[in-house]
Amino acid sequence: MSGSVPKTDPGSAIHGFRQHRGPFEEFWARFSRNRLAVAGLAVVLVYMAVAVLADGLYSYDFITGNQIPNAFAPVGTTARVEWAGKESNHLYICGADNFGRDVLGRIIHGARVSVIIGFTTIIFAVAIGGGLGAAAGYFGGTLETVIMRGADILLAIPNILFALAIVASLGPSFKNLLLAIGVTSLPVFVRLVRASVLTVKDQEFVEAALAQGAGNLRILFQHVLPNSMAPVIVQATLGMAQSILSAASLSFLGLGIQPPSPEWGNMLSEGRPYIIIAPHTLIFPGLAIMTVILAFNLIGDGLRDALDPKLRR
Amino acid sequence: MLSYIIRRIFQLIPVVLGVTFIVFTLTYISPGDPARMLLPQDAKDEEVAALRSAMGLDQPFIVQYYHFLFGYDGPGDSFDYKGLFLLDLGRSYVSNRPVFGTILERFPNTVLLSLLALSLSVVVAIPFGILSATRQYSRTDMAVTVLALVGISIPAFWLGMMLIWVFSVKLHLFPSLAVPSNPGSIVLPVITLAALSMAVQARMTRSSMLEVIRQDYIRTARAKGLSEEKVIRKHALRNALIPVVTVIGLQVGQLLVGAVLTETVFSYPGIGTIMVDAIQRKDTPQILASVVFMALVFAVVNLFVDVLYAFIDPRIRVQYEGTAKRGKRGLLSVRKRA
Repeated sequence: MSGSVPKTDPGSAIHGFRQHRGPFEEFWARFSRNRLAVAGLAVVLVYMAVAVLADGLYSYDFITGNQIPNAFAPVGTTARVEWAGKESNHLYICGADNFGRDVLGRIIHGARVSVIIGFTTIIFAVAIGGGLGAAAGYFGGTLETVIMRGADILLAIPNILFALAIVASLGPSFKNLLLAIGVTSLPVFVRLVRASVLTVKDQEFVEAALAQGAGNLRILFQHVLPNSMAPVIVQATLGMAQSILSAASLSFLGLGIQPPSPEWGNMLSEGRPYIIIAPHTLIFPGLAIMTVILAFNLIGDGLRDALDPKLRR
Repeated sequence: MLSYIIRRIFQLIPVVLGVTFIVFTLTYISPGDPARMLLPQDAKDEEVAALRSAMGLDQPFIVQYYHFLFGYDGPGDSFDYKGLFLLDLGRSYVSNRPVFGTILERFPNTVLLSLLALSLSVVVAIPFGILSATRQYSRTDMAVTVLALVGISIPAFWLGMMLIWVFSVKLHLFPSLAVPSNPGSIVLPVITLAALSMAVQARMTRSSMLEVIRQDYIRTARAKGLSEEKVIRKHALRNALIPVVTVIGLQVGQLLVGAVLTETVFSYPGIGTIMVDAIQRKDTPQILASVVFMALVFAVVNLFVDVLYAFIDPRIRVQYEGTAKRGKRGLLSVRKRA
């Protein structure tokens, strides 16, 4: 084995990976030892597959259209539905809601909405928050003071309250919901990226890059950021859970996705008056929210253990 | 000590200004015109303009922000208010009552709910966290770990509805509507609100305890021949609880805010229901007054908790002073040296 460290692979420089296993294999070996985290990953993969295939499983028009005669059909009943001019038998696997709409179908289409919300808001928060944090940590000075004070102020307003204020003033719409959740998940990433940039930027390999004449941007993107990614990945996973929960909470309060569009939170708020006669309209959407959040939390915990340098031998 | 407190209070000023500025900006850019909302549908444009100027809405942004903070004295008397700092932001568009009147009237109910939830979660979470850590990998530990994971993942509003379904609809044990005057009725909302903090505290206690019982001084205590109970209670617990106390402090504010959803589910008359009612009726002054009030309560509670720590644990104070004085070593200084 050669003694020289390839300079394109920053991972080998700081973590001392053995050469016969790449960083990803090393990480996967550690991650897959945590069975709960793997289970979480499986749930999230199923959930994303369902979100992608939603239209193939249940037609959007069918699950937003009324089938009044089948209102509150209990779990597992088969009933006649009139759909696109034809009558057919339809199995209500998770029952029907107050308009006779298929609850499972609505949950599946709701999965698509929350997957979009989760990914969009977190990508937004990581890109903008991470960019600001990296700039603050790397350049320091007045820029840092301004960015960090701004982040402190945003952090001082509790997430759900801030999101609620944004949507309540701008009006409930999908775009405003994304904006509200994106902005409220942003400051955490500013702090996190700044903190890890601060710890990384004084390391020898950065000094080495400087000595080789690398410019600021090159050092930041090639050397500093890739090495400060671990906590960001963990936080992004936990942030997904938080975003999905915020979206469901705001929709539950009537500030998110508006009916008849299916969304887990608004399904719960629509089902709420019928808790006595049709509890299934509440049980299943809530289970969906809980399972997905649990899965993201498990992955987040697993990632933290797998990426935490302190636990490495 | 006093200088520490004063410095922390001064740190609150930019936060208060920032929070109020953001909330005010949101009102300012919000699409609805309050003057038009107050007038009948067929009001003429001149009437709307006259009302706008009576309400001070034709003033520049920064002037209106000043009014928001320090009060507004318009041409008439009906739209005057004394400003945020005197807890007067005018009247609700819907009920025509002063917005802060309603808030201050209901706030004690939210405080009651949050404090009960906090007490419940501390009483349950810490013993179970300790049990879980002292018997790592046992059945109890697995059960606590799994329950805590579920606890941090369960949406409070759904948990509340499921509790209503089981305990009110099926078992008829507790009412589904909660009022502060009936202690039986607030059992379910307290459990609902406590679930998240309970889970967080149990996880924190467990991991902090696990870390502490591996320390040398615990081995020393055991080697001295102390009973296991004494080792845990006297030596491990006191040290393990410091991070837990930090988390508990942070949760005071979070519980007050988290109450918004729980109150909605149980129709409990607190700040949360005010906010949600106001949202449904598009009563902007009431929404923003509630949001700004809660945000300020959150900031003040966190400040109070911070100061309290400094009393409890001098290490925190020293640590704080240490970081404040530490100079920043930027990359540019490295470059100069190089």
